[in-house]
Amino acid sequence: MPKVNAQELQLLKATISDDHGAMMELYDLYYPRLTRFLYRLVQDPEVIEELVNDVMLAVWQKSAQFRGDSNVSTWILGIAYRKGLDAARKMNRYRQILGQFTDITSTESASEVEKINADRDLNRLLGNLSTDQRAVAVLSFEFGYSYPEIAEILDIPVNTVKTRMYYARRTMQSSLAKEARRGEAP
Amino acid sequence: MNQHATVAELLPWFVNGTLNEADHALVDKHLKVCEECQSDLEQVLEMSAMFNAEKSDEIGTQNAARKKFEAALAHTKKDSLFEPYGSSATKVMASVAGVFFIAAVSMLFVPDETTFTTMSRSEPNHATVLQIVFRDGVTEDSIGDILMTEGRILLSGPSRLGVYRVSIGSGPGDELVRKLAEDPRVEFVEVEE
Repeated sequence: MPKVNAQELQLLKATISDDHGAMMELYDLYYPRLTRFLYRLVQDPEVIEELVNDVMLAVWQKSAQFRGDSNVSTWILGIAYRKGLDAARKMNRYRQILGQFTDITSTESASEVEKINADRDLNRLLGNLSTDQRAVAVLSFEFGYSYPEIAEILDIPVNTVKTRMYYARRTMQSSLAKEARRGEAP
Repeated sequence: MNQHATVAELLPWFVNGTLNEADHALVDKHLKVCEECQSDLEQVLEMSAMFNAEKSDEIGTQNAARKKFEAALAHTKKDSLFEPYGSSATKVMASVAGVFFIAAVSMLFVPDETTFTTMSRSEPNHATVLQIVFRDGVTEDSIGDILMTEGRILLSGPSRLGVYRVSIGSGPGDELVRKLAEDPRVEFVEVEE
């Protein structure tokens, strides 16, 4: 469960004083998490790099607005969610579901192929959800946030978090059941 | 809501270990006696496992992205009105400010008593104008969502007091005022007299 991170807080405070070095440290810390979150949300790997940089530039510009009454991570992920939501709205979701992933080359090890396939299966499953539902599912299952934290990140009431998760689970479960039936068909 | 439904809703956070003590105890106790919720729990665990399977390598190349970010950072000012990828509300406000500036400058060169047209956006005749103030902390994107809805024209704002003036076309505007007043992002809204 994400807890208050003193190092991140210190780095964010340093950016308020235009400390570029601190900002780059924060960038390095958040790059893996943001790419993973935005990839799940937007489902197009080609735009992720630009989106992540967009988010971190917004963090740099708005650092003075951080009130300190939430975790740095919930604040930054809130910015990422809003940017990701905008990006996802502009895209054709059907196009995203079809082959937006890297090709498997003969140099990939068997375990890397398994990882890529598992990732692709998950993304396909998530592609059946609305962006709002996807955000709740990813923040909960993949990033381990509590439902009050998710409410804060997405700026919605806690009951809305639970409702979106309910529909996300129902849709994912239905998709998994369909795939299982397809797998069993002669 | 009955306990069964409450527990069903909480299962994902029971699985990721983030429930508070009271909720955790509630779910734990109920699961011991409810087969339906046990079955639900299995499904949630399966979903969680999919999310937490070993991941493929990171998407994108951090080094390349980092270099671009570092270059952009060197040219980005703090608290700038213009974000690099700009919110629509910021761009509109900048455009309106620019138009007013051009109109003001143009007026310096206009002969007396000559009919002239300006580039400024005049308020449509008989248009209803709303004055809107947003709550603290509302993002520019949210402000843009409200102000840039089809049929609305941002006339000016924010003023020193944070007032935006928006033309909404002809019509009394009472219904829209009622709707906007219920929006949690809006501090104050009324029809301009």
